[in-house]
Amino acid sequence: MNQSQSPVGASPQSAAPLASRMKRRPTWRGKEERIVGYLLLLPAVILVCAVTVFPLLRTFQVSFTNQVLAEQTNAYIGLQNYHLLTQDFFFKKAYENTWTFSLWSLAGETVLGLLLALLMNRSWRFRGWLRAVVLIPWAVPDIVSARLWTWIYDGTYGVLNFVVQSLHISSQKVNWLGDPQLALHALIIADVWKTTPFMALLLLAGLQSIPAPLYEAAAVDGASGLTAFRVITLPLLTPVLVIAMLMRFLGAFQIFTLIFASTEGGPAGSTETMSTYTYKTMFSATQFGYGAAMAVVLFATLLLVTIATLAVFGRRLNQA
Amino acid sequence: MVSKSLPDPGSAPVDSEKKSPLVSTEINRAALLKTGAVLAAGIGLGAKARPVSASPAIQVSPSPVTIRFAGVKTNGTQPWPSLIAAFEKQNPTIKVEFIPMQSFSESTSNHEFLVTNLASGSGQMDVLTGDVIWVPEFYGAGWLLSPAQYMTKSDLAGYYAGAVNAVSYLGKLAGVPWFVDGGMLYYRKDLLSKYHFTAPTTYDQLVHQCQVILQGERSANPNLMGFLWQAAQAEVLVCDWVEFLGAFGGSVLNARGLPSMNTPQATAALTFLHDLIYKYKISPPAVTSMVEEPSRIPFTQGNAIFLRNWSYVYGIAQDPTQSKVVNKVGVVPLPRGAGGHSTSNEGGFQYMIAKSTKHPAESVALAKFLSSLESQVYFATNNGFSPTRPAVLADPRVQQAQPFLVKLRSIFEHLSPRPVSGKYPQMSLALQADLSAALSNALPVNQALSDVQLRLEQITGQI
Repeated sequence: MNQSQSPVGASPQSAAPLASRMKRRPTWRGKEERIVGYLLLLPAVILVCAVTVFPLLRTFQVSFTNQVLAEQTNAYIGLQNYHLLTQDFFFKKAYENTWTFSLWSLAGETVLGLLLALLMNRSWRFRGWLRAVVLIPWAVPDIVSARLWTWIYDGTYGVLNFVVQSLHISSQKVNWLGDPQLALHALIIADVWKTTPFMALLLLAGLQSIPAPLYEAAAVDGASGLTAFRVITLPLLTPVLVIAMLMRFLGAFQIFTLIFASTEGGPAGSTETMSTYTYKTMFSATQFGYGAAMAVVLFATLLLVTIATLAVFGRRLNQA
Repeated sequence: MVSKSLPDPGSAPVDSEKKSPLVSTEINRAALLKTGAVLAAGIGLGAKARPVSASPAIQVSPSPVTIRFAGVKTNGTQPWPSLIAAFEKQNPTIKVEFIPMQSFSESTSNHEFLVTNLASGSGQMDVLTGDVIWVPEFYGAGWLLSPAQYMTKSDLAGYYAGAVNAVSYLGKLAGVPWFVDGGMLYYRKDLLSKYHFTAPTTYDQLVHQCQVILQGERSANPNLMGFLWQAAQAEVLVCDWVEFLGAFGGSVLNARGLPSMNTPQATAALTFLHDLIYKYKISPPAVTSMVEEPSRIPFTQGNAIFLRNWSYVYGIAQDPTQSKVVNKVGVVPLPRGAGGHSTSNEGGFQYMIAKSTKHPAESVALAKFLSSLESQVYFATNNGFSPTRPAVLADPRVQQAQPFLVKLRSIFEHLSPRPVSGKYPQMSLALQADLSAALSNALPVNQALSDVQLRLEQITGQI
């Protein structure tokens, strides 16, 4: 897992890790094996390049143009799109909203996911039932979940308002998805509901890989449950936790369906995220150059976050 | 879902046919001279217009061709299967492959679907249906074929002038008219007459009537709301805005085509809308999350006095399976405010021909068929679509089945379009964002208007 793979077509001299392994083998036989290895890898690499690398490079290229489909313009303008982004109030708002959404959603689903995982890990009477029920939100398609929550939050007929008014928490109907102060948080809750099962399952797998004798030893030493959690569970769970959180952060940062199927970015741009704003710029306003620049900023952000996470936790992850 | 006939006939005398200005000079002189007499005779025959295949102006291929038609999903019964079957029967060599699109309310999705297909130039569709606001954008992008060479002067004369304008851009015909729609005011006849009111013609009257009725009905129906409209951050907000702005004497672009959102009229209009929610409290704060259907449902459930919406609501309001206010609903043009006039925003969908089509003659033939008098009568009686041909409302079948359309013809003949520009989508996004900000109290009214004025000036290249 620590070795880096040599790129296809590289000269043998640059394949340093392989070269060190090759010292144990006769040279001509190792070389043949290596070429076969490269050839077997080629289809997958081509597929990845076609589906990921090529579109990425193309987006970079388009972001340096002023391509607007409705005006048939397509000229190279350098970094002007990026300069415009720094002055775009709604873009900055969307960027902030995306960070707010991702961090809060991540916090919510991690805490709840961990609690659920701990519950599912204990052997108790309803464990089987809990494991089945917990999966339901995750199994619901994104678009269905978005429509579902839109109806729950509906300002006139929503069931949440019915509950809130019945319990006398509020006398007026609350405008969940129409109030700029509330809308984003309402959608965060909807996202936490949807994604907690995924976190819970990942963390459950991590919990189950912690050897039971450790807990028994801790019990013998007189450690309380909370201490055992802090000293045994958390440290041993960290690799899985970090990977799961990173994956979920990347997913939350790119949230689209939930927002678009409910508020479409409103009201007053309070639920506008990078994805919805980019989508609107590209497909509603047909500004492909400007939208490409936004997509590049999104990509760069996620790349930096991933690199930072792996840099900080890299050593811990490799120990797993 | 089609509305049943009302007791009042409400038929109006037929206006003399409006002559629409010639919008294209690309007419084949030879074809025109050859077919002029035939066409004149055909139109002179009156109500039963001859189908397009009998017109020699379009030379349809004698060998079998297949054309692809992307049709939007309408309300009520889908009209496409029967119309396509009738077209294929009249044109045995043409086969039409139908591509379903999403419903009208899925505006953004339909727009994205069309942009993706047309931009790729892959020839996925020959004839398509699109919102009236997309005509300048698609034509400016070079994705559409102008049907002008297949449309004669008398063809165009059969439409309202406004309908032809709606499918033209920069003097070129960019599509074939289908139907138009306009915003109108629905109200509860029973509640108004209970309190001895007639339908309001000014917004002051509307506010006053709401306040009185809400006060009086509070105990009987605590869920009753006053005036519902659409203030979600979506395209329909711009439609509503054009109407309210016109009611106070303003417009998004002034007579010279420059943005005019920092005017006293705009301030008055936006302040009025803000007051409806927060000062008079006759519109619930939930309007900021409403598009067409979420505002229609409370009205047909009996929980609102007034509703601003498109013409489709009438059919639903009269359908006992969907409405609790059957025969209690009246419709009038929207009121005016101080210093303005009653304004109805132009909606509607049109037929367009993709430039990449390999069968332009057949594609235009299909579009003309779907836009013909018979087809429009079918749309009017089956789906309640307001026609783009004056002759349709004079047809006795329409007068019997949809007297509501006939009664409100004055609305459809004087519609106010949203800004006609290839840059309209960008303008719309800016308007949606800032208007929504003001109406949900995220920005003060003055700041929202000056911000949107700045944005519109940037978009239209003034600065």
